[in-house]
Order: sequence, then structure tokens, then C-alpha cells
Amino acid sequence: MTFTLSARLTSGMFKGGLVLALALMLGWAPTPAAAQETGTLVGTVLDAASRRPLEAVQVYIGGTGIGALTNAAGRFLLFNVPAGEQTLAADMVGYRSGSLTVTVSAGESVVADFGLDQTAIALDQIVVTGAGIATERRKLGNTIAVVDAAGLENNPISTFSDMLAARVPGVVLLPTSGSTGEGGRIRIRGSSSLSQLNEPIIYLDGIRIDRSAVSLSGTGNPSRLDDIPPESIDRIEILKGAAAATLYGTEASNGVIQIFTKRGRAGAPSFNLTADWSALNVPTNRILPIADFIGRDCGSTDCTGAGDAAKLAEIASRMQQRFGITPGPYEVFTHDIIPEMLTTGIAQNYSASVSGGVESFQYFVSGRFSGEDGSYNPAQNFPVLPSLDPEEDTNRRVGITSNFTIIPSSKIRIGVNTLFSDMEQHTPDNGNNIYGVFSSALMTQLRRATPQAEAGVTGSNFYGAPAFATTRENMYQVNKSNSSHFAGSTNIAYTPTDGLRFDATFGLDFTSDDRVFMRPYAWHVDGFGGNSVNGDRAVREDRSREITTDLKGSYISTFGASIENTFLFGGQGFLRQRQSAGGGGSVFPGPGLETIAALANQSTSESWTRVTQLGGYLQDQVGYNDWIFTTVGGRWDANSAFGEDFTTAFYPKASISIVPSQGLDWTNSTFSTLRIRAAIGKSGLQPDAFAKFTTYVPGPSEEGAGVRPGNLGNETLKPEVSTEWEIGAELGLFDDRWSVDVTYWDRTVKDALVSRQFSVTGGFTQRQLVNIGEMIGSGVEVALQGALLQREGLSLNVFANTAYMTEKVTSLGGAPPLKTGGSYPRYRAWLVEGWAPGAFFGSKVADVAIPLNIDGSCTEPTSAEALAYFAVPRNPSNFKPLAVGNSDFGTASGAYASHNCGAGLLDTHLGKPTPDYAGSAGFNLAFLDNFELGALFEYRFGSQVQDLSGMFRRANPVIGRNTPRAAELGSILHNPASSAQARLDAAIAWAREVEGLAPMSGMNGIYDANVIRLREVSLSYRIPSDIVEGWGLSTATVNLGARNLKLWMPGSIYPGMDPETNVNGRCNGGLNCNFLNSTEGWAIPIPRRLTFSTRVTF
Amino acid sequence: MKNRITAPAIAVAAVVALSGCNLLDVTNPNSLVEESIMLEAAANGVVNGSLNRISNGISDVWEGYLVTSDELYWIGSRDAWGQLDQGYVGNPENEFLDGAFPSLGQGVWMAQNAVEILSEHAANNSAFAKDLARAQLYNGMMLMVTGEVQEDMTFSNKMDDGAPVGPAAMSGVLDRAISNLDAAVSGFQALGETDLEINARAVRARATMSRTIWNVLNPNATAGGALTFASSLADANFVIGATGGDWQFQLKFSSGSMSCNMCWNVNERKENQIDLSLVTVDASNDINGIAMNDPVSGVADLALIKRLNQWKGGNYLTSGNQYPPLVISSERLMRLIVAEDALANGNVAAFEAQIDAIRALDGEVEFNSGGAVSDTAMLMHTRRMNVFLMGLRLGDMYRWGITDPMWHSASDAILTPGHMLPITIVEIRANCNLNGQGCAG
Repeated sequence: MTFTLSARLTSGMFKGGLVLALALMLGWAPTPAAAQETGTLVGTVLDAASRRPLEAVQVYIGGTGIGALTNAAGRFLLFNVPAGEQTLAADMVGYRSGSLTVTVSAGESVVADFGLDQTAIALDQIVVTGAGIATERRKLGNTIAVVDAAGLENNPISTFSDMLAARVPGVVLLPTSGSTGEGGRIRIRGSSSLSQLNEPIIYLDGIRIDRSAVSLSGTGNPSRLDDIPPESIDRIEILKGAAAATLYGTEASNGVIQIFTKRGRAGAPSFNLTADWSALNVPTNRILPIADFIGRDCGSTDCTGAGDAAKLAEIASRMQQRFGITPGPYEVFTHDIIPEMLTTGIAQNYSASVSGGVESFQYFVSGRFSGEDGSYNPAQNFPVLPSLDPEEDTNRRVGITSNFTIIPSSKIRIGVNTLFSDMEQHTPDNGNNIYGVFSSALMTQLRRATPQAEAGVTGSNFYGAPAFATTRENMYQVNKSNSSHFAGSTNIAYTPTDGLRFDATFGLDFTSDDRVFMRPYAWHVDGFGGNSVNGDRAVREDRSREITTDLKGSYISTFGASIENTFLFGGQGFLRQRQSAGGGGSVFPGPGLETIAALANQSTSESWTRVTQLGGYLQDQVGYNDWIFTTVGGRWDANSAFGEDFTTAFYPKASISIVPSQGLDWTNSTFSTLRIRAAIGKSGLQPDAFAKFTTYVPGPSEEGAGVRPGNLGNETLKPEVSTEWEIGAELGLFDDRWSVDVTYWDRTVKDALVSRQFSVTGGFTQRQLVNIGEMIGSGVEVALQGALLQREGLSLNVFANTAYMTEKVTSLGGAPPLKTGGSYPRYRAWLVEGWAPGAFFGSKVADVAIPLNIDGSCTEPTSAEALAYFAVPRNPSNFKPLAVGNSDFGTASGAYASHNCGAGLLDTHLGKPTPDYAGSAGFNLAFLDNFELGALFEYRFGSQVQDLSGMFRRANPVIGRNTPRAAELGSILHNPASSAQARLDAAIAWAREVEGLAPMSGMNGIYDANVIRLREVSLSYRIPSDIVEGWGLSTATVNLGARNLKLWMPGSIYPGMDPETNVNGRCNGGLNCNFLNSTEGWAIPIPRRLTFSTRVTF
Repeated sequence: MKNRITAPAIAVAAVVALSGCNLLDVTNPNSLVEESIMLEAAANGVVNGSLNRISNGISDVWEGYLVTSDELYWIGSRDAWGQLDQGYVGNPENEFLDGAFPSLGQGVWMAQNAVEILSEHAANNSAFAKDLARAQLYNGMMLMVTGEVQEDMTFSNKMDDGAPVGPAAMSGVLDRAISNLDAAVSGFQALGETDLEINARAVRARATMSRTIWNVLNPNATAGGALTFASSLADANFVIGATGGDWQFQLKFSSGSMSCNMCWNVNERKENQIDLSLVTVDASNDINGIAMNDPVSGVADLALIKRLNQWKGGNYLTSGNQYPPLVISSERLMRLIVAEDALANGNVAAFEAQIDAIRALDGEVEFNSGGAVSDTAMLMHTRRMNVFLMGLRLGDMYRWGITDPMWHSASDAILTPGHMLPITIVEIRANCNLNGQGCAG
């Protein structure tokens, strides 16, 4: 296409040919005839303060139908502008509207540049989620948060999880671990369910998608949500709870997140390329070095028994060879093993997108490759064996998205959206796991260490593993997954008349995961490990598909000049099906064979679940003079998981939004905007797919196939119902340069599904799901943002938000308290009536002068008794702390008194996992026209974290007692040269600082953990346009960013490695997944990530 | 306005229509629903499932019992095993006792349920007589082990919580075991199932032996010597006469059926290991030798080696796996019953003959009564070596006044000898008879 244009440029900003180029880029061509009576407007829209070009600003001449959107360089071009004086306007959410009067001369081009001022309040922002149809935010009485991807372009973001973290008050993304590829867990306003997954449901371009983790072992479990390339995301809308999510019905009580991907715009192809390179570094400053003393291995208490001298000499000699020191018997020595296991990880992301189209067809296609090789690399310290490869710590993803918009007529609009992602993940065995590489290294005992043997030679124990397997042996366990994800949807919108619209969305979300865990033949390369030494293998293939059908209609009508009515109706159907098949076994006949078929012992498994949900809804919204809006609506749901005695659930809602600053004669520039709103609504959460059935599952014996009790069904099952009301206000200050958004919410969950444990001798040891619980929660969310400084070329915008929350289990309906981890006593998070969900209960050391139980009498010894006891060396295993026997929850006193000093020993309330306050704060500084500096801090105050790995390191006699303090106290207690008083003092310190495992579970393990983390910091430089244009580009930006750069723990003595990590990793439901949110256990600390990135558009 | 009326009506109608269709009628192919196991076609599967559950229950509950005794000791990461090593056997919150109790409870319930289901079928169809007798055998075995290892027990049914039997009445559990075994023996005899009859009689001999021992252990164990086992002799002698070649009745495990949790914990995970009074271990805690010598020959005990070899699946110096059999009864046990009864009755010759018959199975030199090793010491040693890992040792320690050097002076095992495994916290909290809330309403 060619055309000629005679333009008179009025600004040096545009040089010859630029208008032509711009025209080509925007894909518009004026007709020569029109050019004779009209002129052309060209210009750039910039952020007034930072001078950053603004993309997607709507620039138009009112009343003419002439308008355009700016491109990536902020440029616009309007053809056929009637000659004469015109008012040019520019609108963009987040900015105050701008206007400019220009005089257009026929056949000429006029330059009209805008500088738009940011506004801190965006009531006109269009949202869709929860509203049914595109609606201005000011019309909704409920909270809806929007994360706009355009505002995050300079942030160091590499995943969807990164996009979501710390953006919205009340929405918490728990980072879980520092393992490569780990996905974050999402919690919105705490927990809405006692038994079902407490994650929000996720929509992608209108269809429900899989929100699960690709679960491997322990941590390092990627989230399905990270399949979505961040560069393809336009915005994320978040509904925080039942009041907002009513139209989503059953499954929505944890909130709804809807992700909208980018769309193409009519115009010539526009390309966007980004490339990121990151270096990863795991902070080790909080990881205590390994400590030990060799006298622990004496066979007699005074270390003078037969063979003791020879044994100590042998160890001392070995220590000399291994560490270059010759420790005395009770001399504590340390070695920092963990940093040796880490290196600088690297990551890279490359993405490209192209968008464009014509009026009747637009497209956006993007592709992304990302690869990460994490910091975790113990293999660097060991000779390589020729026949075995250590497992890697890597994640590789390829993602492709495409969106096509077809507009065959003015009444029909068709959208076709696809996402395809392919991922390969390798994670060394990890987590709360005796075979974990990191965990086994943390549990080493230096006195057991040996020099490294030659490759392929057994007999070495380089790090000093005390049991199970050496760290090197653990490295050879294979733990990998290959995953694919496809989501495709088609949306058809039909607008037969003004105000009437029908929408139909159909889609399929399909995921496929192939997971392998394998110990190769002869993986015990040091001859130490004893488990499956001839290898074993387990594979599992999971297929998930979810079909969405969403049909809805809306009709907008007016009654006179004041009333606008919007009526919405619709129906939805979801069919979710999961199939899982797997197999495994042990004993390979020899090296090299890596299939199940080769195993001597084999077993298989298969399962299948399906959930069908059908729902319909009605909603009516009435607007009065465009400033008072009321909405009422309701949803009906039927679900295959409901019991036989229950058919349909109904969830109503109502809300009101009033914008006095718009409706009244409001001229106050200090309090420039005010909106108040209130909403109440219900939504639900369904039971497990087959929980209603009493079942028997396969239980074969050597005599043949058999069955055994499975699930104890409940035919009266129904959804648990969350009722939430909220009231809030948004206030714009100083001409909307500042804003305050306050919301109070209150939630009650009734008929909460409780996993009730019945007598385990009743045959069905699995817990039964029953609608007998109740829980409450409430909170206040406050968001503040504004411009601290605004002048040309220099601006400083700041923001802060906080969410205060309290929640409580008010009833378990007579069911006994539920503990995470079943009989595993070290997990201390509970569901107990009257306490926060996941509250910690455990043992607490008695507040007495000598808190020791030295003779089993459960009484405090006198000083003389204690000194007499400690007159000889003592092993800490042979005395116990004297513990408080509180019974903070309803176990009958004395019902199970034991040697633990009576009932209630483990029932003392020790804290809660959910913080009172959580939020974020930060700033964005624009300076020198082309530079921006941003920072984001995230914080949590008022919660406790269990340092489980630290408890093991301090207290476990076989695989622990290797912190410097435990070794120091232990050496005093063991040392024959210590005085009785020194031993007694050490024993008291041992009780108050060290002891903490069975039977004193919880003691010295749960601490206040206030956290502030510098989550993001970035410095970007936008290469001036006159330079990049010379390169044929529209924009070019370079960034230096960092994530998780620094952790502070004000007012806390938390001794763990990283309070934000979690023993579970990204998980897929169940009691532990829901409520072990603050139990740190052997996870790699979250790495610092330094990223250099470039982004160009053309 | 027309659209405002018709459109919602269509939406609601669609939902209602779809709600009624079979899209919501989702079946569960992963498992049988309850009604199905009552069918005759499922009868064999129910009995096999009973065997599956009792194998699981016995495997799980024995480990805590064996660690408390001097047969296993803790070498791993989870220190609740260490509490058992130290003799704190009565703690209901011990994670391993608490983890095993549901397995035991399910085994007990499933075995009883199988008897009830098969009784109905057999009443109508004689073809189910064998399966009924098998169910009774399994129920008897499960109750026998429960009576041997538990201090107290509840018997519940689904959501109906059973009251605790009470320690003083636990002998009734063994009586129920014997009653079931009586029925099993009769059933197999009637069917001419000789091999199965031998199994049932071997188990009954053990159950009646344990019933006798129970009286010695309760309410508190008093150390004594040999016991008379009059009610066990007929079965024991029958089994001795009908078998040979070191016969055993085993619970078997394989990858095709199920694994043995206890075996995995010892042989593969290495959480516990054979006690150091029996074996020696290397720096990796792997067995590298035998510590227990035969008192006559003075060299490594051959019966122990043979049993260890079986436990490890070939050679006791190898690491072993999760599939060794658990021995429920054996020719050796039968001979021990006869031998101890003979000794208690002063028939030293008969005692010596049985002891030597056992020793002959391993090629051990003969024992001569009146030598350096006393008869009682020989009985204790022979029994320790030949009921090794059979869930009988702790009772023997209590009744003979043997203490494990690892037991703490304040432990249950020392302070209240005879103390067995408790009802654990998962049951205490869930059972309205135990949790203090009462069962009314």
C-alpha cells in the first residue's frame, strides 16, 4: 500500500517520513479526496511527570467519531479531521482526562502532544468479573481489584505468581519455597473452608482453568497458573469473596480470579520483544552452620570405656583429613556445608508478540521461552559417576498464546483464544523427607564425615550423613515431570439491538502431566543407603479436562433521563474430569533399565473423578442519574457432588454504590471524589466429587482380589455456604492525585464441610465429610496511593496497602479437633473450636527455675536434686523438660494422662499462622525524563511460624543436634570435665531453647515471625525515542531489577531459614495444604533474583 | 420489555431442565458402593479383603510392640520410636502407636464384618462354608493379636462408637478369638480342608497360650518361670504331628497384594533395626554380624540367623525388602508350647526332647538338661530365638521379669510391668465414650 501525504510539521519532534511511518504502523490510509477538506492530527501522549509514552490512550475528537488508540510509543494519528478549531481529548484509566484545542488546516498535519496527569482513583475503569458484562467499577457495590499489566512492564516479573504478589490488599501469594519452578499459593481474605481447597477459582478469558500444582515431591511444585506467560496478560480481575462472587456460585467462596489476555488492535503488525537474563542467589545468612563435637560417640558416660580412646582418635584423624582440624573430644567445631551446595543460578526468558489487524479482524499472538537452572547444585562437590546423572534443579517452559477477534458485522463479535504451554521440571528430592538432598545436608553430623572417595568407589560419607542415605546418594534420585496445558475458548457476542446483548462462551482446559520418581539401580553409590538399593520407579500420568459453557444475555434500558436498568441472565455448565493412572515398583535387574516393565516388583493404580456443575443466574442493576446504583441477583446451582437428598443451592446477593461526588454539586478539590458502597452475597463450596458414596476400595491379598473400607459416605452432603457483607468507601483527594480505599468485610461460613473423624475401630478410618461446621472472619482493607511529587521530569508516586484480618473456627459441630499431619506429632497446626484455623497447639516449657523432669516424677527438682543428677555427664535424651500441661481445647482432663505429666501437654495454644496485618508498600520515582526507579515491600505482622527443620536440627538425637547452640550445650552436658552447675545450667538452657520433638512436640519451635521483604526493586531506562527510531524501533527499554533482595524480621527472634517457605510446597488441597501455611521445613530459602531485561517494540 | 421477561425464564428453565438430566448423575468407578459388598459375588473379595486388612493391622501394630521390646531399636529420624525404646509404651500420643491404632481397628472391624457377611451367605448357600471358615480364621487371628498387644480396646461400627473394653476385660478379646478359631477349625474339618485346619489349629494353640499368659500379665505382671498350657497342647501336638520341615503359618506380602509396613520401616527406610543384643551393625547401621550366641554351642545362634535370613529375604547381611512374611504360628512355636508345659509340669525329658527337636531344625548341637545352662534359661533363650518377630516377646519379657537396658526407670514398662499398647489419641478424641463429651444425642 502506498500513498502520498503533504504534511506541514509544526514540531521538530517529527521528521520527514515519520508521519508516513506512523500511518503505516497504525495501518490507516487517508483518502486523497478527504485530504483536500481535512487535516491530520498527530501527536504523542506521555505521562506528564515521567515523560513515559502511554500506550492504549483513547484520543478522539468529541462528536465526530474520529479517534484512535496510541501505540507503544504513545503516538496517535488522526486523519480526516475537519478543518477548523477542534477539541482533542485523551482518556486513559489511571489518568485524568486531557483535552487540547487545536486548529486544523485543510491538507496539513498538526502536532498535538498531550501530557496526562495520573489519577489515584479509577472509578470509570471497566471490569467484567462478577458483573456479568462490562461495567464501570463505580456501579458495583462490591470490591473488585484489578492488576493492570501495563503498569508492571518495568517490574522484575517472570511468572504469573510474580504479577499477583503484593499488589492487592487481602490477596496474599504465599511464595512457598525457593525451589526452581515453585508456584505460589493464593489466599484471598484467609480461609473460607475447613476441608476444601482454599484457593480461588481461576478463569482465563472466560473459561475455568486448572488451578492445581504439578505436584512432585515436597517442594518445587509448579503452579498451573504460571503456564500463562505474563507478557500475554492484559489484566487480572480479582473478586475477594462471596459478596462479589455470588454469580459464580458453588466453588466461588474463596474468591475468583479472572485473567484477560491481550487483544490485537486494528493496524499494521506491532511487534514486542523482550529478553530477560537473571542471576539467582540463595541467601544463606539465616542458615546456621553445622556444628558437632566428637565426644558424642563415646561409648561410656565418662568417655573412658573400652574402645573410647581409639574411637575418638579415629574420628579426630578423620576430621583432620576431612576438615583440616583435630578437635578435642568436647570441642565444638563447625563447618558451613550449606553454602557449598549452592551456586549462582541462571534464568532466561525470551518472549515475542505480534498484534494488529483490520477493523473486522484483529489478532494477538505471543510466544515465550523460559528456562531456569536454580542455585541448588550439590553435585558440584562430588566426583561424577560415569553411569549416573544427578538430578537437576531446572524448569523449562514454552508458552504460546493467541487471540483472534473476528467482527463479521456490527452486531457480531467472535473471539477465539488459545493457550498452549509445555513444561519440563526437574527437582532434586526435597522437603520433609529423609532422602531430600537439602534436608539430608541440613541433618549432617560432622563427626561422621569422611574424605571423598574416588568416583565409583563406595564407602565415603562426605557430609556426614547420620542415617538413611548420604547426600550424594540422594542426588541420584530422579524427580521430574513433563506437563502440557491447553486452554481454548470461543466467545460469540451478538448485539441485535442497542442495549440487548447475548454472549456465549465455550471452552476447554486440558492438562496432562507425566511424573516420574526413580531411584536408579545401585543408586546407593556410597554404599550407605539401604532403601531400594536395586532401584525403584513410580510414574503417574494425570489428565484433567474442564469444559466450560457460559451463556448469558443482558438488556440495558432507560426509564426517562434518570434511570438506567441493566438486566442480566445466564446459565453455566462445568464438567471437570480427572483421570490418573500410574504404576511403580522396585528392583531393577541391572543398570540402565529405567522402565516399570523391568522391575521385579510392580503395582499399578488408576482413578477417575468427574464433577458436573450446572447453574443459572439473574441480576438486575438500577442506576439513578449515573451516581446511585443498586444491584440484586441470585444464582442457582446443581452439582453432582451434592448428596442424594440435596438438589439445588441458591445464592443471593445485593449491593449498592453511591458516588456523591458525581451526583451532587461537588466542587471540593481537597475531597475531590467520594464513593461509598456496600454489598452482601453468598457463594458456596462443593464437597469432594465422590464424598457422598460409602465405598470399598481394592484391597488384594495373597489369596486373591479383595476389597476394604474406603470412604464413609454421606448422602446429605450439600455445599458449605459463605455469606459475606462488606462496606467501603473510596476517597479521591487533592484533585484525585491521592486516593484512599477502605473496606470492611465480614464473613460467616455455615454448613462448613468438616472432615469428621469417627471411631477408628468402626471400620472406616477415613474421615467423613459432614456439613456441621461454622467459621467466621472479618477484616479491614485499606489502600492508599498518590503523588508525593509531581513536576515535569520528576515524579514520585507512593502506595501502601494493608489488610487486617481475624478469623475463627466457631464450631466443628461436635467433631473432634482436627490436627494437620494426622498422627505425625511435629505438625502442630489444628482446627479447634474457638481458635483461628490452623492455630498452633503444642507443648510449652514450664515457667519455673529448673524446668526439668529428671526422674519422671513430673515435678520440678530442687537445686540439690538437680545438681546431684548432673554430677555426672548426661545425655540430653535421658531427661526431659518439665512442660506446662495446659488444655487449651476440649480434651477431657485426665482422659489420657501418661508419662507426659498429665493431660493437655500438647494442647497449649502457641500461635496462629495467619497474620493480623498483611500488605505492601512502595514507590515509583521517575526522573531525568527516561529513568524510573521502583520498589515494592511486602510485609506480614502478627503471626507465628513453626521452624520445623530447626527443631530437628536442634533436638533430634539421631539426625540433629547440629546447630552451634545444641552442640555447645550438648558438649557441656556430655563433658566429664564440666561442673555439675555448668551441666545444670546447660540442661536448663537445653529445655528452654533446644528441646522440641516428641513427646514435647511444639516446644521451642513456634515463634513470632514478623516479615518485611523487599519484594521488588527496579531501575529502568527508556532509550530516547530519537535514538530508537533511528534503529527502526518504536520503543526500547532496558531494566535492571531484583526480587526478594532483602528480608527483615522486626521484633522477631525467629531462628529459621526463611519464614515464607513452607513444608508443603504448592499443593492441591487437604488439611495440610490448607492449614500448614506457616510451617517451615527444609525448603530452600527464596532466592534473590537479579534480572537484566530489554524490551523493544516496533 | 418483552426480553426482560422471556430471557430469564429461558435461563432458569434451562438450568432446571439440565439439573434433572443425567449429567449430574456421576458414578464412581474407583470403588464398590456399600450395597455391592453384600452380594454373593463379592463374598470372596470380602474375605480376601479381610486378610488384606488384618495383614496391614498386624504389621502396623507389631512394630511399636517390637520396638518396645528388645527385638527392635530405633536408628532413624522420628524420635517417637525412641520413646518406645525407652519403655514409654502407654503414651496415647505416641505417633507410631497412634498411627497403627486405626490399622488395627480397621483390621478388627473388617474381619468381624467379613464373618457377618459370610455367615449370611453360608446360611443360604453351603458353597460359602469355606470362605466363612476363612473369615473366622482371620477374625480369630486379628482378635488374638489385639488381645496380645493391647492394654485396652474399643469395638465400634461405622458411626456408632463402642465403649472401651477396659484393661481388666481384655481377656475377653482373646476368648472371642478362640471362639472364632473354634468355628474355623470346625468349618475346615467339616470341609476336609486339612491344610487350613492345621493353620487354624496352630493359631488356636497360640491364642490359648496367650490367654494363659494374659492371666500372668494382668493386672500387673509378676515375674515367674514356665507356664502350663494345657488348653493348647492338643492343637500343638496335632500341628506337630501333621507338619514337619520347619512348618510356618505366615501372613504373606508381595507387590501384587500389599507391602508390610513394619518390614519396610526396618529393612528399607531403616527407621528401626534389629536389636543390638541380637546383631551387630556397621557405621551405616546395617547388620554386619550376630551378637547373640547359642548358650550351648557358644557361637552365633543358628535359629536367629535362619529367621534373620527369612526376614531379609535371603541373607541377613543384605538390606532386605518390604515383603518378608510375618510368622503367625509355626512348628517351633508348637514345640515351645509343649516344651514349656512339660517343664512347668516337671517333665524335663519331654522338655528336652522338644527343645532338641527345635534345635535340630537348625542343626544346633543338642541341649542336655542339667548342664551349664539351666532349663529355664534354655526355655527363655529358645523361645526368644524361635518366636522372634512374632509379636510375643514383650509379653515374655514381662512374665519372666526381663527388662530392656534401654527402658527408663520412669517408663511404663518398668513402673507397670505388663503394660501393653494403649487406645490412642485419635480414638480418644473421636469416640464419644472416651472424649468426655458423652454419647447422648
